[in-house]
Amino acid sequence: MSPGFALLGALLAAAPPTSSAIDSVADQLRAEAMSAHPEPPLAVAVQSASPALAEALGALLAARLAESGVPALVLAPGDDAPARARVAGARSLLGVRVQVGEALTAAGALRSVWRNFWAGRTPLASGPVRVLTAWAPVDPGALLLAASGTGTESLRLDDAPLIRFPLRTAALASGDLDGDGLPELAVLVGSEVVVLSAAGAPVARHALGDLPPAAAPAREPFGTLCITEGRLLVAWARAEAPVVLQLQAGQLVRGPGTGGPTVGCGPTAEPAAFVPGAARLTLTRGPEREVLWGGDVRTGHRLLLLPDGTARWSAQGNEARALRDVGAGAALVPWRGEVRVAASSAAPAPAEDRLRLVGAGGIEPSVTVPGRILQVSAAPGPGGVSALVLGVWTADGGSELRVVRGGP
Amino acid sequence: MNDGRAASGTPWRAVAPWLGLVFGIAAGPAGAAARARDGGTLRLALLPEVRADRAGETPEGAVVHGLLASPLCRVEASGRLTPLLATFQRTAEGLSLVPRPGARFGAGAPLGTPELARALARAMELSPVARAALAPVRDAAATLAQLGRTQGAVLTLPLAYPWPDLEVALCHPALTPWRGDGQGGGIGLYVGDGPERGKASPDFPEGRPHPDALVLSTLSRRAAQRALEGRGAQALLGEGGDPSAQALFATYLVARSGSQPLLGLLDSRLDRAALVRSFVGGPAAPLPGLLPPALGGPDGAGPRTAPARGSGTALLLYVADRRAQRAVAERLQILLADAGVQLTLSARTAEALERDWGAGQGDLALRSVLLPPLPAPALAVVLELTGDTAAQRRELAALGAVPDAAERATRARERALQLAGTLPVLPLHVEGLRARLDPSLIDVRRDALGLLVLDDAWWP
Repeated sequence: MSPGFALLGALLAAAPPTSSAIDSVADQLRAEAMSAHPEPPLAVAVQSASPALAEALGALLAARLAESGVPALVLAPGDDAPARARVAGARSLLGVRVQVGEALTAAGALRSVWRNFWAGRTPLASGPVRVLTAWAPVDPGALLLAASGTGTESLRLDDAPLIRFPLRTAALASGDLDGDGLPELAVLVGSEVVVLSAAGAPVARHALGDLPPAAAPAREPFGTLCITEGRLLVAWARAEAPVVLQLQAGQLVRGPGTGGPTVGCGPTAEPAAFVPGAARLTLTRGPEREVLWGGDVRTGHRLLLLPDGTARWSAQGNEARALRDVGAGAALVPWRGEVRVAASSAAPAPAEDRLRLVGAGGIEPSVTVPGRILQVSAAPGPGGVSALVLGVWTADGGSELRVVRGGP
Repeated sequence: MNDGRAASGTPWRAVAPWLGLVFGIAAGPAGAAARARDGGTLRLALLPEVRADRAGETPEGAVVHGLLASPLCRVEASGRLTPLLATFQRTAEGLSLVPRPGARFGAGAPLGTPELARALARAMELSPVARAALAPVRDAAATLAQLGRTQGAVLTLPLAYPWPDLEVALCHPALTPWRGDGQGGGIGLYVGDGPERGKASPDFPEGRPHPDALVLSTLSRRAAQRALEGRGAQALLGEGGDPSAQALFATYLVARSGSQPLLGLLDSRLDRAALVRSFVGGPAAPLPGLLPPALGGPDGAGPRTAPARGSGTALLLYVADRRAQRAVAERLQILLADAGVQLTLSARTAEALERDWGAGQGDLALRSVLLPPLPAPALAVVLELTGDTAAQRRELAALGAVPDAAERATRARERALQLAGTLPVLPLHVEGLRARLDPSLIDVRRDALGLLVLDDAWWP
C-alpha cells in the first residue's frame, strides 16, 4: 500500500465514528465480521472500480479489526485472493466489493481459507461463510476517493459503432494503405475485404468468393490481415491460398507477392498456418507448434493467445508472463509510452464483453462493450490520443466496429 | 456453503454475484471459450412423430433433416440469403445455379449440375412446395429432365415470366438435393454413420460443424424431457416452442372441384380458434386467410355465416403420422356429420397421400406445408395445392411483374384476400416449430422459416 493511502486510512481511522461514509461502512463491516468470530489471522481484500477507494477501505477495516483484537493484513483483491491469504498465513479472508452509487455500499463474505489436507489436490472450500453488507449515505469524501485513481487510466467506448455489418468480422487491421500518411482500417467480413477510412467510411471493397476454397474450411469467420508497405496481405481460413491487395485509384486490386497467415504484422511478424477446419493458427517458424487463437508481435514484445483463455506475453527478453481470462480479441498496443495488452475476456459468448488494458502495473482500466470482442486493432486517433478499434460480434449474427479511447 | 443466510436482511441472491467477483468462484480458464470449441456430440431427442417425418416436411423434421441433408441456401431472419450448396446468378434468360466446390454427397460424389437438375426434378415429384417454387421455370419438368443429362458448370433455369423471389423459394428444404432413394443421400454437415448417428463432415462448403458427431434418439415425451433436463440431449424436437417465432407450417383442407361446396359447409361451422386450442396445441394459431399472419395474412376470423346443411358422403385423406392432422380430421368429421354429410377418414403416409391425391383418390385432403417466408412464393404454394396450373400461372405472372419487393408482397396479400373464397382450399391453422433447447447452446439462431439453425451450435 502506498504511504499516502496508509496515511489517508489512518486519518480516516482517527476521525469520529460518524464523521464519514467510509468510516461508517468500515464500522458496520467490522461489527458484522466480529459477530462471526473469525479465526485469526484475518486477511482483508477489497475490490472497487477505484483503487483509491479500495485501498482506503482496506486500510481502515484492518485498523478497526486490530482495535477489536483481530489483527488483519490487507491483500490485493482477485481470483487468487484465498490462495494468497493462505500463503500469507491467514486462516480467514474477508473479501468485500465496494462501490459508490446513490449510497456507499459494500458487500462480501467472510470465509475460512483453511484447506483440509485430506482433500488432496481438490481445492475444496470448507468452513462457514458469513455474508456481510454495509452501506452509508454517500458523502464528498467517498465521492473524491471513488473519482481518484480512475481519471487518468480509464477507457471510454464511443457511443455509436463506426460501422455495422450483417455478417461477422473475421479479421481487422489498421495502417496506411494509400500512402497519404493517414491510417485506414481493413476488415475481412463475410467473403469480402472492406477498406474504411479512419472515420469508418467505406473506401473500397474486394470480393474473395472466387478464390479456390480450402480443403477443410473453417466454420467460424477467421483470417489474418496485415497492412504493410502499402500492401494489404489477406489470409482467409476459407480459401486455399492468401492474396495481396493494393489500393489503386480507389479500387482494391490483386497485386504480386505472396502472404499467408501471420501472428503480428510487418517486419516483426511471425509466419503461421491455419489449422484445417478450425478457427485456429499454429506458428510455422521456430519450435513452437501450439494451437493458437491468434497473437501479436511488436519489437521486443510477443503475445500468444491460447485456446484455454490464457495468454503468454513476453516482453524485452524477460520471462513470459501468463495472463488469465484473455479472449480471442487481444493485441499489443502502444499506450502512453509503453506497450500494453488490450484484451477481451475469455467468457463463452457473453452478452457484453470487457476490454481491459493490461500493463506492467497492477491497475487495469477496463470498459464494457456490448457483444463479443473478437478483434482488436490499435489505431492512432485524432490529436494523437490513442484509440483502439474493436471487431465486435453482435447477438443478431452481424458485427460492428467500435472505438475505445483513453480517458481524459 | 453451509451458511447461506443473508446478513442485515440482504437477499442472498443479490449478493451471490459479488461473491463470485471477490473470490473468483465462477471465472477461470476452465470455462474459457471466446471462440467456438470443437468436439463433443450433438444429441437431439426426437418425439416419435418427428422421427416419422424422414422427408423433413414438418418444421421439426426439416431441422433434423437439414443436418444430414443441407438445402441449397438459407434465408436468414433478416431476409439475407446464405449460400450453402449453390450460388445464384441472375441472367437475361433466368437464374443460374452454380454448385459450390466441395459440395459432395455422403458417398463422395460431387454435386454437379446434372445431379442438381435431377434432384430438383425428384423434389417436384414429391412436394407441392417444390412444384410451386419451380412453377415460374419454363417447362420445368422437361427442362430439368434435359439438364439432368448434360454436364455443365452452371445450371440455368429459364423463366416463363419474371419471378424475382425465385432465389428465396429455392432455399426451401423441399428442394434439398438428394441422390438415390436410400438414406444418406444428402449433402450435410453430418455424414450418416448408421440410422441414428452422423459424424461431422470436414469438407462441407461452410466448414465442418463444431461437434464431432450427431446422435438422434427417438424418445417418449417424458423420456425426451428428462434427457433435456438431465443434459443427455441438447435439443428436444416435437415439444415446446416460442409463440413469438415465425409460424409458417400451414394446414389447408383441399377439395376436388366437385366437393368444393363441402368447404363452404365447414367454413360456416368451423371455430378455428377452438380447433387450435383443443386439437392442435401451441405454438399454433388459427389460419383464417390463405396467407398466415406471419406473412401479413389476416389474423382475425371474418363474419360468420349461418351454419349451412348438405347431404351425401365424402372421403378425406390425411397423414397418419401427424398427430394434429388426425385430431383435426376427426373434428371435421363431426362438423360435417352435424351438417348432414357423412365423412369417411382415410389415413396415409405423407408420400402415399401425395401420390394418391395426385392420382385422383379422395374428395378432400388435409395438406400441411411449410410455406416460403415471402407472400408471393407462399401464395404460389397455395395455388399449387389447388392443382389449377392455369390459374397459378396467371396469378404468378402478374405478381412477378411487380419489381419492387415490398409492393409485390402487398399485391400478393391483396390477391390472397380476393382469392380466399373462390379457391377449393380452406385454410385451417398454422404451426410454429416445436422445440426446446439446452440454454448452454451457443450460436443457435432461427432462419426466416422460423426453423432453428443448429449449424453453428457449440457449447463451452
